Order: sequence, then C-alpha cells, then structure tokens
Amino acid sequence: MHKEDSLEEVVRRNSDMVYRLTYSLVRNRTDADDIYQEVFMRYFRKQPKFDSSEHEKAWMIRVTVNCCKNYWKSPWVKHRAAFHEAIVMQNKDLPGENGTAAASDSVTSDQDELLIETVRQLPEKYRVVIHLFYYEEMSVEEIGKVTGTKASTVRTQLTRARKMLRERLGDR
Amino acid sequence: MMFEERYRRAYDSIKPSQELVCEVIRRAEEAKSLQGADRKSTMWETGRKRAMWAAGVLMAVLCCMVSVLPVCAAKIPAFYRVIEYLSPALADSLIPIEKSSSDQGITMEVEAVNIEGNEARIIVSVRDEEGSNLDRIHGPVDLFDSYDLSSFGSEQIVGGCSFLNYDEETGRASFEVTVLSSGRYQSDKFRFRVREILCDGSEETREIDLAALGSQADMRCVSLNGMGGIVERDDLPDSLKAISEIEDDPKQQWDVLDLMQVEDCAENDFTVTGAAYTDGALRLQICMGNVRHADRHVQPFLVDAAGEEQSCAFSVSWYEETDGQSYQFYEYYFIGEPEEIENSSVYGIFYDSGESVEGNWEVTFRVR
Repeated sequence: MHKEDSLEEVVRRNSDMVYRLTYSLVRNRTDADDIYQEVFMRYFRKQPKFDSSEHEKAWMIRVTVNCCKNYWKSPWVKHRAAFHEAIVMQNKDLPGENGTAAASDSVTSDQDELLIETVRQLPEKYRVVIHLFYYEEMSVEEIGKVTGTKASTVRTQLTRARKMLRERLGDR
Repeated sequence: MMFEERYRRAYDSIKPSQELVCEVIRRAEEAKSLQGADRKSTMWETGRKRAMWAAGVLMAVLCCMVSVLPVCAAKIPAFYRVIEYLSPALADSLIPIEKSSSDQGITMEVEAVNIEGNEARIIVSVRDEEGSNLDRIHGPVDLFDSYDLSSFGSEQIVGGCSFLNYDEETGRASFEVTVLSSGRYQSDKFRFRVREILCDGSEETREIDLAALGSQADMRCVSLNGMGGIVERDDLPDSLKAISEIEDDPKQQWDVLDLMQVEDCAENDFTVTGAAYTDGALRLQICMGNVRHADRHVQPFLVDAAGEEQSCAFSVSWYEETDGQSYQFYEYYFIGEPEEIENSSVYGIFYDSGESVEGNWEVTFRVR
C-alpha cells in the first residue's frame, strides 16, 4: 500500500494527524511546530516501508509520541511549563494565555480552548490515551500497540483520565 | 454535548499552518532530490575507483545535509545545552523568564534566572532586532561590564559575565551573568539593564616575532593598575619577587621595558612594544590601545622545541596618556633559562571586542 507515494503525499496524508497529536501533548504552538517537523525529518531520514495505511499511521503516532517524550524529558521544558502554569494560574481570567492556538488563530472558541487546556493539564501519559481514543478513535488494544503499553494499562489510564477530566471540567 | 464530540470539535480546528506544511514538503523534495542524485551517480560510475570515492562523498553530503537540517530540539534553547554540560545543577534550577527589550537594532532577552541567597545567576541573550538589517550580532559579543541588576531592596556589589555560546540558527549570543548583592535578595521583582554591547569580536592566534630579542633593555617606572599570576612567590626569580609584595602598596610603582613610546602605538589595535630576556625572565610588553569603548586582551604562551606550551607566570598592567587618550599596556613574564626561552616560540591569542553599541536594554521581571 502507498508504494508509489511520494514523500509529499505521505506528509499531506499524515500532516493534520501528527500536528493534532503533537499539539495535544506539548504546551504551545511553537513547540508543536518544532516537533511536527522533527517527526517528518525522521521519516525522510529512515523512509520506512509500510505494509498498510494502518502501519503507516501507527509509525507516525509512535514517532510523534517518542519525539514528545524527548521533549518532556528536558528539565528546561519542565521548568518552563511550571513557570508558565504559575502565570496562567494568576491570569486565569484572561483569554488566550499560555500560547494556545486561540491566541494565534482565533479559530477555537473559549470553551474549546478551555477544554484543550484542561486536557493539557493531565499527566502526559493520560493525554496520549485521551487524544488517541477520542480523536483518532483508536481502540484500547490499538493504543497499547502503538505506545508499547499493555491494553489493561491503557484501559486504567483512560479511566483515571476521564475521572480527572470530570472533576476538572465539572458540568461546564 | 458529549465529551467526545466536544473534544473532536475543539481539535478539528487545530492544524499546522500552511507555511509549516510547505516548509516540510520543501525538505521532503530536498531529501528526495539528494537521494536521486546519489543513486544516479552510483550507477553511472560503478566499478571505477574514482567513482567509488565520489559516491562516498555524495553519500556523506546527503547524510550531513539531512542530519544538519535545522530540526530542532523543540524550543530547548542552545544555551541550555551548554549549561547542562557545564553545570547540570544550575541547568536544573533555572527559572525561565523569556522577557526582552530592544534598542539600537539589538534585542536583549533575559532567558532564565537562578536566585539563591545573595547570588543571582542570569542567562541573557542578545540578537539582531527582528527586521533589523544591521547584522550586528553574528558571533561572540561582550556586555563590557555594562550590566546591573536592581532588586528593589538589595544593591549589586559585584558582577561577572561569561560568554556561553553563539547559536547560528537563531542568531543569539548567550551569557551567564552572576551578580552578588549586599544582602539576601528579599524582593521577587528585579530589573536587569545593559548599557553597552561590544559586537563583531574577533579572536586570532598568531606568532609574536622575537627575532630582535635582547638581554639588555632600558626600563621606565610606571604606576600599575593591575597584576596577577599563576606561580608561587618562591618560584619567581629574585628580580620579580618584589612584584608579589607590592599589592598593598598604594603607589604600585614598577619598572617595565622602555623600548617604544605610547605615541607610536596604534589607538585601535594591538602593538607589541617590546620583548627582552632580563633577570631570569622573558618580558613581553603589548599595548592594547585605547580601550575606553573596546575590550582587547592577549593570552600569550610559549611553545618549546618539544611542542610543550607554557603560560606566562605573571603579568602587570597600567595606563599611559597620549593626546588626551588613555592607552592600556600589559607586560607578561615567562620564567625559564635563557636557552629554553631562545629555543621557544611565542604565540598570543589576540581577542578584540570590535564595535561598541551604546543603548538602553532593560527588562523587569518577577521570580516566584
């Protein structure tokens, strides 16, 4: 499948999926832009052969999550996140804080922005499963395969993430 | 509305910008054309030794081009990598600030700080202001000790600044500035200011010609304004022992070589004003010119016949006036037997700070 696809076609086919996943896992658009590029540069360097479109998608998700993990590991990112969160807490009534997409694109509503921010405040591993489950509509087993986690663990993470979201979003 | 629907709706509008997609596609085409060229050249010249070499070079170029494309480590700044290497503890305790101020076509940014007790460590970067075509920041620069940190309660008593790196990709030169205050920092509000930036710095290692080295020289007495060295007093020849005793002397008078007058020295360049082997030491004298708005210094060293390097044991500095301008002089002392010195070459790393840009770069920030 896709044997004759050009690199450009592969980029276009996976572009939105990679970007949305990245955006759900990092703190702002600038970092999402950087990781998005890094994912495709890894693809250009390796140019792996895929058996199917599912295989291609799984590879892209796996690499995206790995690139984000490298990003999370940096103490700089951790400190910056903590520092900016402190500012957001102080300015929580101001719209568009924390570099959200709304600030630059004006395409998300305040409610959407609030939802995105609330999910972003979950632990990293929970954000991965939430996004893959609810946006990419992957099953627990599929998420387990691409993230290298047992399905039972994914199920537990999903349950805990939902509980945290319910508490944080309330009935908004 | 169910969570699933809300989540999908929120993320439906999240897409990479068209510009970003185009950039990635451009790189895809670049990678593809390089790969095509590599395959073509390999087929064309198969079996020929020269072709093997060419293909190897092409492959290497491909690997390099693909791997050095500016893919980022997602907003982890270059200076941070340097600090992680030099001082992991500091890297781990830095608090990001990321506030900037622009003047004279240059943007100064306070990147991050670490404040403990009465010590503040501030990571600062400078870069060309966005839209500026002056290209002032394109390599190492210097803050020329023109910075200060006010903390609305404590006063800066001493500071130090060390250059960290110049990141070509972002055009940023970064520094670590250390400031000690008179007391523990009480306030969480700080103001960091820079008044002068030296741009276009250069560093060059060159040999200093000692062909006319003599063992006799006229001397003149000067008032020193600085001295320093790396050897113990007991290891100094008798003629230099006195130098370690004059630090408490307010006059700080000292005899130096008198081989060239200040009037004959360059105002904005280095002038080697003399060298002589006297009293068990090689004396090397260099005039730095007028350093009121510049920073010129030299790190001289000897290289013996076996290639061993020797740093200078001691140095003194002073100022001399000409035409109302003040020129800075240094005299360096190398300890050794005459024959050792004779068989050695003298080199100097000449550092010149370049153009001075005066301005007002000021950032106020809070640290919680």
